[in-house]
Amino acid sequence: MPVRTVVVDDSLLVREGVLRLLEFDPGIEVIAACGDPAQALRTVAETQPDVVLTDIRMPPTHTDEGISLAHTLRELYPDVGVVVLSQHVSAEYAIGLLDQGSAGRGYLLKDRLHDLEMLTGALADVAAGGCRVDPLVVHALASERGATESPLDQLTPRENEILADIAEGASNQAIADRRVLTRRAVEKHASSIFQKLGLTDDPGGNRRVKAVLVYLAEPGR
Amino acid sequence: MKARSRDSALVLGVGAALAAAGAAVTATSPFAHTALTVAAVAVCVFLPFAVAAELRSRYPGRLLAVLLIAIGVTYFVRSLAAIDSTATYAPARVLGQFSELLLVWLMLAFPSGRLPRPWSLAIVIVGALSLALLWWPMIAFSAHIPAGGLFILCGRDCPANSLLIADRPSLGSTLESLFRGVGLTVVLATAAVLAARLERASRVMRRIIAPVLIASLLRTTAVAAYLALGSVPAVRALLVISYLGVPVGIVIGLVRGRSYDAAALERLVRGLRARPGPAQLRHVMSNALEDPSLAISYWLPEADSYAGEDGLIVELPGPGEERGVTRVAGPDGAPVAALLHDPALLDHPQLLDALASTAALALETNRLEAAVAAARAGTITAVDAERRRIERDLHDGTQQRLIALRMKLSVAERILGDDGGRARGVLDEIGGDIDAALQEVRAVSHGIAPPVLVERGLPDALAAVAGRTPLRVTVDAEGITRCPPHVETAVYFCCLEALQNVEKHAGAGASADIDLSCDGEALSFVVRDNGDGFDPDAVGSGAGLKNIRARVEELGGSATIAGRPGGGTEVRGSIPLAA
Repeated sequence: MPVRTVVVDDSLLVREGVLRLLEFDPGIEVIAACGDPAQALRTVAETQPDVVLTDIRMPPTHTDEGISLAHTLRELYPDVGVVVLSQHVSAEYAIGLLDQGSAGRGYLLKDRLHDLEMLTGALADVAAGGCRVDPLVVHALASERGATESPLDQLTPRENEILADIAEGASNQAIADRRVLTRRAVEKHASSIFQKLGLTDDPGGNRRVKAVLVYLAEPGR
Repeated sequence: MKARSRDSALVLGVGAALAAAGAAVTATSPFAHTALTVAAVAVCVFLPFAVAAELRSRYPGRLLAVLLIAIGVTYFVRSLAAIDSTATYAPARVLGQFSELLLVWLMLAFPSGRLPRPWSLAIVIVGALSLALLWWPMIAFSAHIPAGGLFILCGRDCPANSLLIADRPSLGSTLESLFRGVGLTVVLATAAVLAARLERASRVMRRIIAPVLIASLLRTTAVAAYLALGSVPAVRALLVISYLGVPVGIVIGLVRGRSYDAAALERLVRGLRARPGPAQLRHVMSNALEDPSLAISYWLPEADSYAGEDGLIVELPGPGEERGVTRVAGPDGAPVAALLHDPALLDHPQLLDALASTAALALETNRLEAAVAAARAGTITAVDAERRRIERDLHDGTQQRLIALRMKLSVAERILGDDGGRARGVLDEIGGDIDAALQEVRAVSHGIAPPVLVERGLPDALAAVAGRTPLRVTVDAEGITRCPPHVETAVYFCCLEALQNVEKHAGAGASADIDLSCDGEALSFVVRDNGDGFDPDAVGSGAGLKNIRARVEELGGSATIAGRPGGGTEVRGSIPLAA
């Protein structure tokens, strides 16, 4: 069964390029191509695809329509995966995409669209409910924290396990149940993880999403 | 000017003639009189004419001079009662009383010539009615017109009343008492109205009307004394003095007004010497004129109207309204500004003329500065919009085309498969070239208008910057929402510049804090580092720091850069949200 994919981009050139490139992978079937988010929503309603591959910046405001589209689809069709194509290496946009859950979401840099294997891999992963974030984005985030080596190396095995749980979107309570820990112990581990990843001074919930990004970026996680 | 002085001469001539005639009539009167009485008659008749002549030359067309002339004439008529003749005596008594009404009218109408509603007008009307309904009827029903008042010399042997209709002594004395009661009420009310007016008056106005008020109080006292004590010599003297006090008060008020003109001009010239800026000019002018309510509106040719100092369009008040208006024109006659001021200043046309021409240059400078500021704000906004448009064009056009091109190349490589041979190597190179081109386009468009800044605002944009520098940077931007684009852009590039400076000077391992705060009027930023610091006086401000200052000041803000060796550096700036 090929992954049924809808492509959304306001640039005709890019749309055509993606279609022609994806033709080389029999695992992906492009069932429709749309030029704006509104058309995309109608198409998804009609075709129920496995995954939507969308540009981030589209009409009408040319800012982050792709992320809004992902949020809308999360509410209307939670089973449909969304891969957002972005020009922004800044982690802020990826955080915006993932702050309502990382399951079935992907964030790729548009510059690397031509890398067919990476693209189809991400589409298949996300269609299956996984999460993919472009390594370059995570790398930028890691260097934002001043880390040169893999930050995960500093974590204890237990902390690595718990970070993996966080990355799956589990709450502290769920992690406590799964790992047979008290909730307070999970919170202590979590704050130790944030500290080691250099995420101490971030306000609010972004910390959790950033930790997930760092985790996702690690090869062989 | 000639017509005016001829006019004055005519008034003075008539006054002198009437004064001489009045004095002659008194001097030749068969009734008892002294030289002092003769002199008093001459002065009382002449003085109103003299003041009227002065008023006519200063305020042509105002009713005041006419009232004064009428007062002089009625006093002359009054003096005719000194003739021992039934033909003149009664008419002189009837008409002579008009001088009291005219005097009240004059005091109430000074200095504008108008009778303000409702009180002043009511007082004059009541006075006129009391003459018509009480004074005349009293004479018509009294064989012996009650003696008294100024210059009535005949005492008990007055000529017969030629205007007598019927002799009804009791009716006559009732009417007389009523007339006196109403008369006293009128003079008291006049004093009260003037006192209230003085209290409300601006400082300029106060100087002018205070002497007239004093005269009117004196007059009230005299009339009250006369009604209480009768026509004893001391009261008569007080009546003469208080009567003369009114024109004298007017003259003193005018002189004080004129000395005010001179002092105001001197203050203005002294204030303008310090070259006041737009903010201080109003202060200088209001100080000079002693008019705290003074406001300046500048002429906006594009809008074809005047705008206040806040830049809002102002509708100038018309004549006769609460505020006086003086328009200031440039040397070419084009409008420059309008001054809104105390209407009392309209009585100082020479002062306003002098003021307008003295301040015209300063006002024109300010007007141009305001226009330049407005144009600059427009330019900044336009430049900002243009940057964003270029960024968008680069993104929507060039970047998308390059991405598509890169994908097509990928397609070509796949079609070639493994058979490409040497062509594959070339295609790889082309791929690398396209990637490089993409990066360059991105860097350029980012330098023009960073998309994170445009789309997500300052906190995110600065967080992204913090991520890109090798320094440890924390950003505190709590509560910062979106600001006008030109302010965001300026603060963004200032912080960027400051961080680059930290990188250059603060040494390895330095960290920096960025603090943003917004009070609703201005967006402020502080960039602090813990590096080696530098002495801004010693090395001068670096080019980067100069750029910060220029960028901030261009938008009407201010920036300071402070650093001590060993103590780090602090760059502070603040930019008003309104252009």
